[in-house]
Amino acid sequence: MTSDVIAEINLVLAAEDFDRETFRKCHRFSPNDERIISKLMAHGPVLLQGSRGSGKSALMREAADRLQLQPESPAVAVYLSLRHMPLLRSSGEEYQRILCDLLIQKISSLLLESRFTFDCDPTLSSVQHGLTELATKLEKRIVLMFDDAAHIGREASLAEFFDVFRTLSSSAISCKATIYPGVTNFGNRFDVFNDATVVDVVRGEEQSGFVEQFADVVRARYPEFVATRFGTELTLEAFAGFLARSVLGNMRNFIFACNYVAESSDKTVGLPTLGRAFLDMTTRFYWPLIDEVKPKLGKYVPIVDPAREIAEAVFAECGKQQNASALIHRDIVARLSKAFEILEYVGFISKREASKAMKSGGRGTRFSLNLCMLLENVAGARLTADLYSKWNSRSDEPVQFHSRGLLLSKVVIPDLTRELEPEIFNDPIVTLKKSPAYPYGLSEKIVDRLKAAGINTVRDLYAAPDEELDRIHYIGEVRVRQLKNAVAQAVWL
Amino acid sequence: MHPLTSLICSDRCREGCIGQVDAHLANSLDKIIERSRVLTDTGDATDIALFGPVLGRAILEVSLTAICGRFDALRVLAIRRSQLAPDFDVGIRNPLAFNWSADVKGDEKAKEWSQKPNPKDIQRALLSGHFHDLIWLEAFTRLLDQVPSDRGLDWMTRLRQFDPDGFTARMRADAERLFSELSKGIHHEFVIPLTNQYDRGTVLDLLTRCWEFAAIIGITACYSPVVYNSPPHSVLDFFEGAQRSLALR
Repeated sequence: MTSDVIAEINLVLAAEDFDRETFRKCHRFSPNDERIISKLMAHGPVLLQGSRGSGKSALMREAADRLQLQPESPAVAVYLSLRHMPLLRSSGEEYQRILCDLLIQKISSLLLESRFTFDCDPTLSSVQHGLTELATKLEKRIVLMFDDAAHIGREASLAEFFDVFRTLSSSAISCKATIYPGVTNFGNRFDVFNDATVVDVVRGEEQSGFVEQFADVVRARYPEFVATRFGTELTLEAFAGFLARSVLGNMRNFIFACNYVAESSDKTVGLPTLGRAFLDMTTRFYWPLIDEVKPKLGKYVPIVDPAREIAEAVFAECGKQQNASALIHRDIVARLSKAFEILEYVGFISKREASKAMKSGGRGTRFSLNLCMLLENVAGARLTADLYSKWNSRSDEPVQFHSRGLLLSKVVIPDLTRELEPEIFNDPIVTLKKSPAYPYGLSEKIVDRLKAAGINTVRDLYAAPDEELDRIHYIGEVRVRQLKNAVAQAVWL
Repeated sequence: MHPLTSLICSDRCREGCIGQVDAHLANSLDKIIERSRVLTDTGDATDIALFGPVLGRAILEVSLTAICGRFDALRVLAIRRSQLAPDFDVGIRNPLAFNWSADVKGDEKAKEWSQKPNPKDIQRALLSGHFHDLIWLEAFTRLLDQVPSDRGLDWMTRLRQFDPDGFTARMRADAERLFSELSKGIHHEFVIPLTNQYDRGTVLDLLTRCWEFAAIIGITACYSPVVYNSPPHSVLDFFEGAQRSLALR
């Protein structure tokens, strides 16, 4: 691969935006990932739960690919991304009809080169019947993989989705779906622990193959960088393990962090390189990220500011003590639960232990903290050898936040408004201009051309058909794809 | 013994009649675990579809019987006595036999503590609410607090995400799902090809879940002060040894 191609690949953030060949070149899977992929290929309903960029879609796509690649396989996979605006804006029977329609189109396209057809009405009973018949004809199980099925803050249609999920699951049909932590609205008919196996996508340094996986990803995505920039001070493995732990095992943020390190002009990568990249990431990526996410959270928008307050308090206190782990009393976590979910979602913190004894009595939840953001709060903000060694060991007792402590007691969760369409749709198109909040954003020229063509809001761009965009001067097929990727990243969580 | 057997049945032998029961259950479980491991390594599609569910359910049943025996010697000694009786007939249902509903699930409408239950209202089923309140909550909390952060490998990482209050409900849901999925493969309910439902990937997933379930219930029992246990470092060695030995290749 040329360096231009590699640079282009490293700007692609979502697994569903890769073509198959590049996907296979860029992705690596740990033993724990392999376990999850096996569950996705096996029979039985599964909900795959993980924060933004944790790698849910990559795991689902890999499972779907593996089933397609084996003609003798006992199952055939149908991968369906539910990033589809009409779904987002509908509920009840209309939601079910749109979802059934999408499923019919997807299955029909998969069957194009076969002797089978999938003729159904867009109703749940017709699709259910059609799927069972198709499985009988194929003599294979059908695995339906619904990607991006359930989002925090977009809960109007979740009950309908889980109703579809439960109804379609049968001895011949296996349903799988990716969801975000914090999704709580499963509807009346769906019992999350009895009707599905919930699998958490968590990558922690204590898991087998953690360092190897991230080092392999660096080798695959940054071959020139690996060949020329590592010396004796910091080996590739030490770099990959520490960086991965710093971004809490989040694969997408790890790639971002690698891009920041690769931008450095240092001849060899050392702790000063990493320290500067951490501070850069904090200012240019993590804090803007919370602004980017805010308008997408529907009724939870008012919780973003309290979440930011919590982050500032926790990082300031832990930074003072140079400690990368916080144990927060369960009463506080229960009171501020949605805010903590948002912080997990943006990759500031990651829940590592649900319940642990506190020194002052009572129990708390232990969170690991993002080290990029923590460094900003350490006196001097320098990644010294001592700090590197301290953060690499896991021996420190976490900083404890007690139920009667003052630090988090002032944080108040406001009343939630009724369910709203995400605010981002009404934002002017200029919002998507390249900026810290939208590093994958549009150039000024493109924004001007879109406005001249009557595309004034994010909604206009999202809804515009490809042909309409293609007709705009200097916007061709490749640019249309980039525009669609940019707007999808902005609209979807 | 396989480390998973040692974890579930304990490596500390009791004497007398209960010791005989312990030894028999450990011996049975050990063979079943070994066979399940061999099946995943060398079984062809037909063997896996036919024998995987049988071995999976056997792991569940024997593990839970052994754990029951560690907490409630009276229960397994009563089963032993009924099976040794001169009029014991394998052709007739034994009312004292180990029973999934009564010994594992328990009554879903058990009396709350606030309803002042009398002794016969107390549920002795392993995954019942009363057992949770009296045994599992304390055991699981001790486990979370006592296991060092660098021990336990991947299974412990997942276990640390469990809230102690929901431990038993979660284990009961897992056990019921596993039991139901495995049972369909044993009773040959399907009139469609079995290998489509119990293909290699599905059976390996089921067996992996059975091993992990048994290991979790086993290690949690080991942190209960109610039963006599091996020292914590041995328990953790068994837990990690089981994972290494049963990692799919």
